Amino acid sequence: MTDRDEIQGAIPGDPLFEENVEDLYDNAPCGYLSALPGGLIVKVNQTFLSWTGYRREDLVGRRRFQDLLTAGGRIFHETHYAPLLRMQGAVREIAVDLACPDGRRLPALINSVLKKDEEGTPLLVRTTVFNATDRKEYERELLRERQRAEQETKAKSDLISMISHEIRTPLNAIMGVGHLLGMTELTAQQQKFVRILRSSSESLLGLINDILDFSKIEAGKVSLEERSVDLRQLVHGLADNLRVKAEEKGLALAVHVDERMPASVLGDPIKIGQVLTNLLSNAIKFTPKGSVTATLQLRERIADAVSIDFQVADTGIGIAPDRLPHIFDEFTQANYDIGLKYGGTGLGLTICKKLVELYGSHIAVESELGRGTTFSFVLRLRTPEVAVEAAVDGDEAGDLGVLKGLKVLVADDNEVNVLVLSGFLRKWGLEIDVVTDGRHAVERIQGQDYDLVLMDLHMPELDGYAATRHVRALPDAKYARLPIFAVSASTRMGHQHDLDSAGFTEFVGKPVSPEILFAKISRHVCRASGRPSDRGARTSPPAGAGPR
Amino acid sequence: MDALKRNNVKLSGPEGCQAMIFAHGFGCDQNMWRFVTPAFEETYRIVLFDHVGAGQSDPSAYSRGKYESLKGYASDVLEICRELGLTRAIFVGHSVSAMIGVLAALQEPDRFERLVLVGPSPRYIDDGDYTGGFSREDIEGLLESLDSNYLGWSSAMAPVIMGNPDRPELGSELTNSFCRTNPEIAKHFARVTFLSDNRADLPNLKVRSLILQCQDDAIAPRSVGEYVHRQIADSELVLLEATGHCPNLSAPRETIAAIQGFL
Repeated sequence: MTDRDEIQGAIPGDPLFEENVEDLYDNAPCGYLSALPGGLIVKVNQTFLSWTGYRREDLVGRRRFQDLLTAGGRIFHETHYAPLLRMQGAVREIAVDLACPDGRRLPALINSVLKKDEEGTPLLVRTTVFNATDRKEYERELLRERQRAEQETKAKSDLISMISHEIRTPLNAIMGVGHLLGMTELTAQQQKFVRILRSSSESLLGLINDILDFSKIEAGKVSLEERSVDLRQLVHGLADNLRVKAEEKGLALAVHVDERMPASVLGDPIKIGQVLTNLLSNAIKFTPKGSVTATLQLRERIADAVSIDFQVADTGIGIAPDRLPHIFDEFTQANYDIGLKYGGTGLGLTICKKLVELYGSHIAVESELGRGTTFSFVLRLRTPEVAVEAAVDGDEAGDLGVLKGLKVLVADDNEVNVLVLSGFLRKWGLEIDVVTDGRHAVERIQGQDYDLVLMDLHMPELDGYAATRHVRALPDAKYARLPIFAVSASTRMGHQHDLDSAGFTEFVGKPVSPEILFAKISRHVCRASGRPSDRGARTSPPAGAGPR
Repeated sequence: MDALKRNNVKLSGPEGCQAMIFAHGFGCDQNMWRFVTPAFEETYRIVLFDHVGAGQSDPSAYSRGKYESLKGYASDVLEICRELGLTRAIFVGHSVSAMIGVLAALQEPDRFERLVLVGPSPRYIDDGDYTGGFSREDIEGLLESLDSNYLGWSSAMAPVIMGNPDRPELGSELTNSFCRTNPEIAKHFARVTFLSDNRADLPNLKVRSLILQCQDDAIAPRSVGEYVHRQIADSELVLLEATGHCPNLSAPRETIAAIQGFL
């Protein structure tokens, strides 16, 4: 016998190259099935019959292909498979379950083509059937693993959220009381202790904020708001917040905004502000002498949008070239000593990078050791059609006396929070009433006219959201105008929609920063009560307040 | 965001003519009307759109709350009408979109002069004397099918127009995938559709309607078509020779003729 594996010498016509066509069809490694366009089976191969257990005479001319599917599969067949086949002329890799005569279900993967005549009229549907029993198992396993991974991620991010929230509440007390302490008569030694207390708690707060923001971004729970922003006011305001720190180190802090910058653009002031604040405070932190400069330049005006170049440059210690590519990685700082010397989580730049990426852009960095560093990014922001009055994030201070005599209702179930808030409010000359849950808050509001309500979001009985919705739903128009501030240890990120739909006027984060609270009150309450507020005049923040 | 963008609205035909709105059924997108709309393109302003979650609609517009019932989809249709300034239009709805059209017409009857309901069903699950055609388990089976096809979904929906030598004009215009439906949204739409019950809405409809019923339609059987005809006072029932659930695809000429006969 000749060795059939040796091709040489074989000629066309040699039985080696001729396979019996019927055999090829009938015993193919996949199932073959042909049906009329309405589904009636006209031909089926042996492989299919062997897999399923059907007999040829039971199928050909007798049953439709869709009759072999399970009930749900039949619906899918009519609503997805059949229309697709008509429209495209073919369908690939549809997963179906075939019902076998012995009651078994055979998972199968089918591919179909529609054979048409010269006029395009469908004649036949030709289908290959692949036995997907094993594949189904793999799929199920994959899905299970994916679900497990998703659950773990969610559990982790929920945990981080909860921990951060729990930590913020006592931290609010520490910072608030530290503040109040600073406003009393202190010996020089006590003042020193209070300074340490306050700067440490601020660092702790920074750490928690970073971790929470980072975990929210990782979990994909952050999206961009679109509101009217005055970039010029935004960046000046942020710089003002940091000015004290810069001046303490003898650094010059400068802001340059392109003259041609439009008065308002549509963007997310919180996120853009966060990126700039991060970059600016980093710059100040790592610059022993010289200057820190923020520059906003208009690169391009295209139709209804502008392209803006943001830059933060410093004359600081710089970053080594081999560390430069890693500077944005999480928990990475320029070198090991930085953590010891300067502190910080190593999350700040990662957060900046991810926030800028939300805008479809990226942050670039240039640096020279010992000379300085420049961070830059470009944002494309739409310009509103009508000049809208820009919303400033409460960084304007006003005349101290402007709040005197205003009536405030504080709704908060935490004694220490109330103590801290009252301390500030009384100092500014406001009259305060306190309730400890939402239900009482709604009652009190109806009983008396208040100029402002500070509503904690999480309270027993009726929470802040529900209470505010209640108030806004009251018939009298004055309740629609009443300024109600949401006060919460949760960050605003991700909750803006809920806050807006509940009807809150403004949001104040805990730990409460007195000058931000003051600015927000003077802006909203004075406008509502018709008092002149001191917008535009840049006076210094109330005494006893520190930055951020 | 505006409805025209959200629902990927495509307009054709002469402006100023009476509008003919085509609403695709479950599991598809506006392309399912491609064999039917050409017949009306000369004399009507054709309005095609994709329901949110289907085709090239904006998936970010999807919210479970809004689309928890068919009314959410009906309000989208009305928004499209509002933005285009449509009144006295013809609405052609396939499958679940037939009911969506009924709900829209109940809310703003002046928008529609006539309704064409292709394979409608006000309730799919059997209920006492009413034969919808399915049990709850059947519907769960459908959702399982959607689940299993999730992983293979994108490949199934990729364009295969290249293999269409008998209709070369199709090849060039179709560069996007057909019936690209977000799997999660598809499942939710399926659940909402098949668990819906709009029988009570039918008698209140005052707009003149045509019901196109296929022979042997597993999704909307004849008894259901006849039920809908009985419940809508001003309605006509036409029994098509076509089989299956999508006569607009399997028997476009017959479908076109039936609609033309009605208009």
